[in-house]
Parts: sequence; C-alpha cells; structure tokens
Amino acid sequence: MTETREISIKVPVLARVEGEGALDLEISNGQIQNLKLRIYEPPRYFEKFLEGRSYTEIPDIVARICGICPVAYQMSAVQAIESAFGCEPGPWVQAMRRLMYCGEWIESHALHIHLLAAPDYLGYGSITEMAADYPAEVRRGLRIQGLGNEIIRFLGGRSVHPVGVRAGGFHSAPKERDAAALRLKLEAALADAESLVRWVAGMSLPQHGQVFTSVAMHNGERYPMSEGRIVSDQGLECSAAEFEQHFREEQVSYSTALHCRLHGEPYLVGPLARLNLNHTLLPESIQSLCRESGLVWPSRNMFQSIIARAIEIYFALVEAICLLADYQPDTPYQEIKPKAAIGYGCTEAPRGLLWHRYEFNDRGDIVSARIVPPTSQNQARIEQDIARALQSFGLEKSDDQLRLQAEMVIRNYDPCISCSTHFLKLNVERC
Amino acid sequence: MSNVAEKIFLKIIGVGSPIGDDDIGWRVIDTLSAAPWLQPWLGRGVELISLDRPGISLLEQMVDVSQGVVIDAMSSGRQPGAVARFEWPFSTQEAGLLSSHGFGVGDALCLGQALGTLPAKLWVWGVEIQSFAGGAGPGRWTQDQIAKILQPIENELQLIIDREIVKPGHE
Repeated sequence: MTETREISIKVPVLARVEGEGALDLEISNGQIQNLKLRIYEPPRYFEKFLEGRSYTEIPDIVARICGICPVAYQMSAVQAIESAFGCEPGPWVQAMRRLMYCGEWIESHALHIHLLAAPDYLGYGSITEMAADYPAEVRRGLRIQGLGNEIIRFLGGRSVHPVGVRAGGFHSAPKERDAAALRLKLEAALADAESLVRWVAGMSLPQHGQVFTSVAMHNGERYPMSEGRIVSDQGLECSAAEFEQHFREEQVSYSTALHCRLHGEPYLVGPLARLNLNHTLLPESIQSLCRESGLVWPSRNMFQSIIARAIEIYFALVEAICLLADYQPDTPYQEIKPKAAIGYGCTEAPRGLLWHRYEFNDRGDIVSARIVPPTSQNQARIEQDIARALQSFGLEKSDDQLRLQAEMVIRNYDPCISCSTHFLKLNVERC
Repeated sequence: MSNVAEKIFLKIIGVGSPIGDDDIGWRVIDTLSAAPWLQPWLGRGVELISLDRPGISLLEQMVDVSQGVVIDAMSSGRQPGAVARFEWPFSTQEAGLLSSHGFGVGDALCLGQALGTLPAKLWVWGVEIQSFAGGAGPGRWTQDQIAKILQPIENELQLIIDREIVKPGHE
C-alpha cells in the first residue's frame, strides 16, 4: 500500500519570503530509498551581474547577496581583488577587517541560536513562545546580536549591507573615541557571552554521532577568519587558488542551489567544522570553559553546532576587544593598480567557507566571476544528515514527527534558506 | 523649549524595502522629515528613521522610546493606497503586515511584547500596496498619493506631540 501525505506549515503574515523548500522522502521496507531537499530560490545571477563591472564595484554588489553575512562576501571579494592586483593592505587594515568579521560572526550566530535553533531544542515553535519562559536569555541574545551589528556599523557605516569596505582597505578610519566607546561596550558584554556558552552547553541536545568530513581554514597561529589554507580532517590541504582542483559544484535537477562536493563526497563547513579543526587555537580561557562544561572537540554530533556558535561568539567578542586595544586611526586604504589577472579569495563566513574567483582585464573590469557560498557546500551534507538522522530517529514515526525532525536538522546548518525551511512541505511515500 | 532629556518621546519608524511599492514607509518618512511643522521637534524629543527590513533589529530601535509609530506596507485585501491605523496590541495577521524575511514587523512586535521591551504606546500605520513585483524601486507613489496617505498620520502625530511634549511644559 502506498500513501502520500503532504504536510505544510502555515506561516502567518509573511508575504515576502525568500524562497521555499520541500523535502521528498520515499520509504520502502523501513529504509529511505529517496530523499531530496528541494530549494526553489530563484537563481540570482550575481556572478553574471558582476561581469563587465569595475573591481571597485565588487564590495558593494556582493554585499547584497546576503543581508545577514554581507561582511563575509566583502572580505572574500577584497582578498581576491588584492591577490589579483598584488596589493598588500597592511596590518591596520587586516586587523580592522578581522574586527569587522568578529561583528558579523557575533550578530549572525546570535540570530541563529536564539531565533532558529534554541526554540527547536527547548521545545518551542518560535523565539516569541520561548521568550515567555526564557525572557532573560532572549534579551541577552538580542543584546549580543546588537553588539555585533554595532561592530559592523563602526567600520561599515551601517550594519545591513555595510558600505565602508573597499579594495585596499576601508573608505575611512573610525575615530579613536568611537573605538574606545565600542571597546567598553564589548568588555561589558563578556559575562553575557560566557553565560550564553554555559546556557547552550547545558541544553538537552539530541545525541546523534555520525561520520562526516570537516573542512575549514587553518593557519596554525590563530582561529581562522580570513587567513590560512583550506584543510580537512581527512588530510586535505590547499590554497584558495587550488580550490577547484578538489571541490566541484554540480547542479541537481530538483534544486536551484548547487551542491558542492570534495573529491565527490559531501562535507561540512561552518562553526562545528571550524571548531573541530581549530579548537586548540581558542584562547585558554575559552578552552577552559569548554572543559568545565564537559565539551570535547572534535565533535561528531552535528547538533552541537549551536554550542560551536556560542563559543565562536565568545571568541569573537574577546578577539574584538583585543583588536580595539590601543586603537589608533591609520591610513585606511592602499591604492590599487589594476592589471589583467586572476584573483582568489577565501574566508570563513559565519556559515563556513566562502570562496571567490575573479578574472580581470587590464582596466580592472571583471571578465568572469565565480562565488561558492557555504550553503552550497553544505547542501549534500544536509541531505546526508537528514537521511541518517531520520533513520536514527525512527522511520516508523508519524509524518509530522519526521517533518519536525527533518526541519530541525536543516535549521541546525543555519542555511541561507532558513526562512524557507520553516515551511517545509514533506511528501512521504511509504511502500 | 528647554533641553529635552535623552529619552525619545516619539520615534517614527518607516519600514520598507526598495522593491516595487514597498518603499512607502520610507517615502512617508522622507516627506515628514521635510515637513515645516515637525522641524522644531526633530532631535528634541522626536526622531525619524527609515529601516530596510529590520527584522529583529526593530526592537533595538525602540529602546528608550516612550511612544512609537511604525509605518509599513500591508497586504490586507484593502484598496491599494488605503491607510489603516492599528494600536498595539492587535492581531498582526489581520493587519496584513508584510515581511521580506522570516521575521517581520509583526513578529518583532510580538517578541517585544513577550519581552516587555515595547514603548508604552505604539501605533502601526499600514499602507495597502499593490505589488512587490516590477523589480527594484523606487515605487510608483506620486506626491499626491503620499500626501493623502500622510494626512491622517500627520494629524495624529501632531496630537501626540501636542499632548506629550508641548503640554507637559517642555517649552
């Protein structure tokens, strides 16, 4: 007997959603035969829009790709431009870029923890329901998120699609008094960040260990944001310029989001992968907090991604305070001399590795552009994880229970299609 | 008027996006910012701001605000250009407030209510829009349409300022 049931979650009020996701699941003899996470996001053609544009326009154009992680797109882009044209922006610019990235990690992770992930693990349908029982925790989350936005504004002029970044550095250097004021606010938030780690570490997360490949940047000296080589826990080590030799994107017929694979296999990017590969580079105070909380890295439990995000928030706050110590305005940018060249950029967006490649003509206009975002890289891994998680959860469970479990798995990755995964339609065929 | 304390008596927030007609909140704020009657109060207890799909950050904008007014596009089945006033608390679903993302104005207000962080008094003015389609803005609003939309909003703002700022002796 075959039965097909469709479940849809009604989302009130929302008329401007960014996409729609559906999960097709075929179960036969108690086994998953077919599983497809279908993404309907319309193609956005950013790579095509960039062709023919000047290199000077790239930071402002690519910032529009994502409202939550525009800094990441700008950072990978300027790195690619500078590598193509042989520009070294110097230590002040690099430090301020790292500071700006700290801001984005803080705001993006705080948003995901409180808005998307925590309600799942604490048994609520939304942050608003959760706020009734956890008002202090939600307020703390909003405070932390606001601080991240403030760091981005400090250098970018605004927190959504910031405009302060340019190839070679920044358009201007913030004032010393503004830096001092920001640093005081960040220092005052350290207790919030520490208590956030303790809070999520104490959550009752699903215990589901699985084998997966972690991929992240690594430099051996400090927790990676924009510096280092691309490594995996399976022995990969390559530069941004060698990315295409190992990673390949492919189109699947049922999704407008490309799937990227490493040597033909799914892999994980993002906070858990970063932590798995770089946990020894965290400050001792944070490593000590992990030990005290019973956290052991590397982790094979994907659901510990929420803890990884909280730890990265704490790290980013500590790092931002250090970067603002003794702040002095300096020359905000180095001049760029364009030439015909190819440049590569790779940085760690909140959701993971973000790789850019640009080919320029001698005027510095873009001949071709290629951008591989972290969500594309995690697509195949998400499908693999859903299959394993549902098998472990029990395929005899009701459609509704399976849908909720699948949604929880998807949300755990913090994909850029988070909105659409809130109204997942699940089509189950049981034979 | 003496110096007003840091507390914002009235914050008027235009929410929107550059897509289709969804910039109406911004257009209203632009018009208000040039309104002669409002000039004496700007920066002296009254603040105007336009926000691009703020999501949860809307709550940040309401910190230390006594009274808030939000102007946003709505899709409620009314005639395009229709204006509706909602005093908080109200059913955000019935108001047909629009969201560009998974967390819109209605969601932010519900969360603010749960956290107790909303202004003591809060009104939302919804403007029915026809379309998000048609690519990037600016929307097709004419000056006459904006003036018509603005009239009831301005009337109420003047009453609030008179009641909350002028009469309590801030002059």
